[in-house]
Amino acid sequence: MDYSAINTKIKAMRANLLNLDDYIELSKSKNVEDIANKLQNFNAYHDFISSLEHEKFHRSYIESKLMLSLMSDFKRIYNFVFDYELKKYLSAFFLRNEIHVLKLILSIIYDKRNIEYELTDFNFLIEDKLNIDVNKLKSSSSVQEFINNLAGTQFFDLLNDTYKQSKRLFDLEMKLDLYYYIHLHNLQKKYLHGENKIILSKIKDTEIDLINISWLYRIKKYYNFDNTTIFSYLLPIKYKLSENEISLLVNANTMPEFEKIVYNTYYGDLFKAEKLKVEHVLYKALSRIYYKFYLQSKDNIVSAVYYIYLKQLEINNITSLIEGVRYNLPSEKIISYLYLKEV
Amino acid sequence: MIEKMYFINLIGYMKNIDYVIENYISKFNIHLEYAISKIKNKDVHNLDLSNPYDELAKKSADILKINDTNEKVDLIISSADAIKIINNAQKFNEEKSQRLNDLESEYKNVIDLIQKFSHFKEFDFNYHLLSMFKFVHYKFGFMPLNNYKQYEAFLKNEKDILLLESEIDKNYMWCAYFTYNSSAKRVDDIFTSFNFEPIELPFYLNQTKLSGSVNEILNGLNKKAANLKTEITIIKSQDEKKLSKREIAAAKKILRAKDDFETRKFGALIYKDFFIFTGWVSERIYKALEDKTRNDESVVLVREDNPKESPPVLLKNNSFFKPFEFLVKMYGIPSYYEIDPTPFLAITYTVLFGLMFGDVGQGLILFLAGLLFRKKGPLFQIMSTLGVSSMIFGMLYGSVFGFENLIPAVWIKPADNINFILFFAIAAGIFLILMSMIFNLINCIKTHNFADFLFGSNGLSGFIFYVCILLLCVFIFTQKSLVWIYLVLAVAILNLLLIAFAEPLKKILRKEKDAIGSNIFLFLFETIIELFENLLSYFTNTISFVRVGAFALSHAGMMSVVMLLSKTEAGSYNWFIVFLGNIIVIALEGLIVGIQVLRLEFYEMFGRFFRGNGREYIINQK
Repeated sequence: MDYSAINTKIKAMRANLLNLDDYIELSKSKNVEDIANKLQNFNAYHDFISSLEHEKFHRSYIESKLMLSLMSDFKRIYNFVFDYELKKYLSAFFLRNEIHVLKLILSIIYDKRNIEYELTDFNFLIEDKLNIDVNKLKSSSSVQEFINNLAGTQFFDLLNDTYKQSKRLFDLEMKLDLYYYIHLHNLQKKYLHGENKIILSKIKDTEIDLINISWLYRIKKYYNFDNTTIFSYLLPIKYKLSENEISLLVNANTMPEFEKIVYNTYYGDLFKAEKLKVEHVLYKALSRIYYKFYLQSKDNIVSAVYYIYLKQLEINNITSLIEGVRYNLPSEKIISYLYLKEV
Repeated sequence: MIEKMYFINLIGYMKNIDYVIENYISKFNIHLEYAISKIKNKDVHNLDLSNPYDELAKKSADILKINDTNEKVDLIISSADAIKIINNAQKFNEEKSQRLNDLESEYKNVIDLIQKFSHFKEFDFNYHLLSMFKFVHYKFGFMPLNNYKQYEAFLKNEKDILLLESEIDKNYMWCAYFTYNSSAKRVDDIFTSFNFEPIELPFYLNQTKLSGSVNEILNGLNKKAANLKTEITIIKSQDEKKLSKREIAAAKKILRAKDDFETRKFGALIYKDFFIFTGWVSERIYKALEDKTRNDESVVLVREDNPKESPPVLLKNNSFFKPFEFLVKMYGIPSYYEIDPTPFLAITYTVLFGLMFGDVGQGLILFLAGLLFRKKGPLFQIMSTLGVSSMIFGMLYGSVFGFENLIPAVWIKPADNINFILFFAIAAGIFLILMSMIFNLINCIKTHNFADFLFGSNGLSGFIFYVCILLLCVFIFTQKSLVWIYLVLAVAILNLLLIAFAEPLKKILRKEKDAIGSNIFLFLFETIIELFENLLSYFTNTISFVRVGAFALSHAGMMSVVMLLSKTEAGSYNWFIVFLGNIIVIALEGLIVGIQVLRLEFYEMFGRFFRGNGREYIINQK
């Protein structure tokens, strides 16, 4: 397959990503409405934000519209790929959106929030490749009903088996995430070939290693789980972490002990530099590895995948920015919370 | 005719009760009454009603169900023998179904085991050796593939876990894990968190050791299952035991005994040692009972001559009138002291039907159809009678299947004498209304209801009023002198006033107080309305009979339409249309006329004299 066309397209799309000056301008906004007005001036968001009615300049609405921008960008890329197997691999993105929706509805059910209001925000996802019936799920009054409404999809057995053993939202969400990453890993093994396979495996396996550490960190720090059960929350894929290292991390009894073990792993230096802030480590490591392969890449899909990563990052950044503006933080403070390219 | 009734008591020693029920109560037609409610005595109690035959009767019914037996068996068997026979037959059946149940549950068990073992076919070690493990903890089971991947990634090199994989399907890995007893708890926890579902497998199946590789065990189990299956089919295909005549007789005897026992609910216990049954019998039955009890020491027959209650009513009519009882009962059962209106109904119904539906051919068809289906119920017997009537009037009218010119009319052609036939119908109606009033007078005398006899609108004053009005009409038409007219008019008005104030007059006659009621205006208002209604009903009821003539005309009319349609240009008949038209007219008009006559009977005649508040005589009610 010839990637020159798609890479040219990506180059054009990259021009629409926000730069530091844009972020600073946005961070100086007085309120959420102000941000929305400013976002309308950017090509990437103009179509989505301007269609919003004024009284709906609310955080959750804007966030859902940002997601829509990401979806639209992805579909432009997806439609530009003609290789059947590559398309299969990229379709994992749809699964991620489905899981995103499921997790949202689940958290709404657990929190007993007003479902109608919240769900109007991601109605746009329904039009795209969803295997699930969002309207039916919305109407679920209990978790069990929610799961029953999923009958016939791949999620039913998964959630039903889990819910039988544990009623925690945490377990259900973890199972969904596990399912996504294992699925992605399988797609990667099955449908990627040559350079695409080598590079994307390296990137995604690194991501998986780091996610395992970050989940372990969360479990150790915030939840008091029995050590024997922790294995069932981990992604069964290892890259630069050994079985022994994971076993040690699982069985670590105190945070200092955990810290020491992490510092001795392949990713030890990164964690040391960021003082164990797992999200930052994840961002830094991924950005670095993506950028490295992006620079080298010519005839592969990496630049496209990297673009999606960057776009996702941008949306996360705007979300944090809106949060900052809402709390009236000073501009510099807000910028310091964002993940900005170090290049 | 209403049968004369006697109220009787049958009394005897308790020890003879079964004998009396069998030989008297169920043999003779007795309308039983609950003795406990009829006898005012302190020492009367209910009989013990727990039916000892309940269980046995169920068994007997089951046994009879197996063998389709409609054959008559007239073997005589004592109750005790019957019980023994039934119990034996039942035991045989029970043992068989018990054995079948056992086999089936064992078969299910084996299939279940095969199902479980089949997932572990890959295990080729001697399965039974596992039972000797003392220091090793193990579990068979299955877990989701994603969890299995987690095990593989993190715990594969764990020193104290040995996992043997057997079978992978789309979602699950079937496997067994082994560990030291000392690590059992930890390893169990790990696998539980991996959603591992354990499967319990036995080492013995009904004392048979399960040994060898899993494949060998499966072979053995499959063989066992096949054996059980054949054994089950053999037992199932075995013929049910053919019942002997003795057994059938016994079963029937038990069923009858159960029914007989049910009769006890009518009886009562009196003076501790005696039973008593009470009920009504007709004269004929009473005589028969008297003859039979005279020489029997086990039972005493007592007749009560002045029973407080009115007896149940058993109608007795000859075979011509009998079917019409069906129509009378639709209206009500006559009370014991009334006239049985069946003969009156039978005659008037038949005649009126013929008058309205006179056709020799169609009558013949009704007659034949009624004859053909006479076994199906009284309605068809009535139909054949009506057919005859229709044929007779067909002769009088000269009508055959709508052909008016085929035979000469013996009497008249209705279509050519419209006025006559209508006046004739009204005259017949007047006659029938007067008859009904006379019947009412008789009924009033029989029931000693003199108030209604004198002042009722169908009583003497009503009768006189109606006759006066008729006379008045006749006088006016014949232009009699005014003196007569005024005289008759005066009598009529006097009687009308009597009818109007019938209620207070009746109360005065019965020597009741407060004849007018508390509100004189309300009373007058009611009286005037009732009077108006009465006057109107005399008029409408009479005019109502016009329909008799009208239907005679309409019959001719309808048939003339059929003839018109069937006539071809050449002047001959289209026989198919004649046939079809006749069928339609018979069905449609026959039905309508039948209903119209019934309406006349019930509304214009029965309404005047028949109260219908009797209760029916029921033989041996259960």
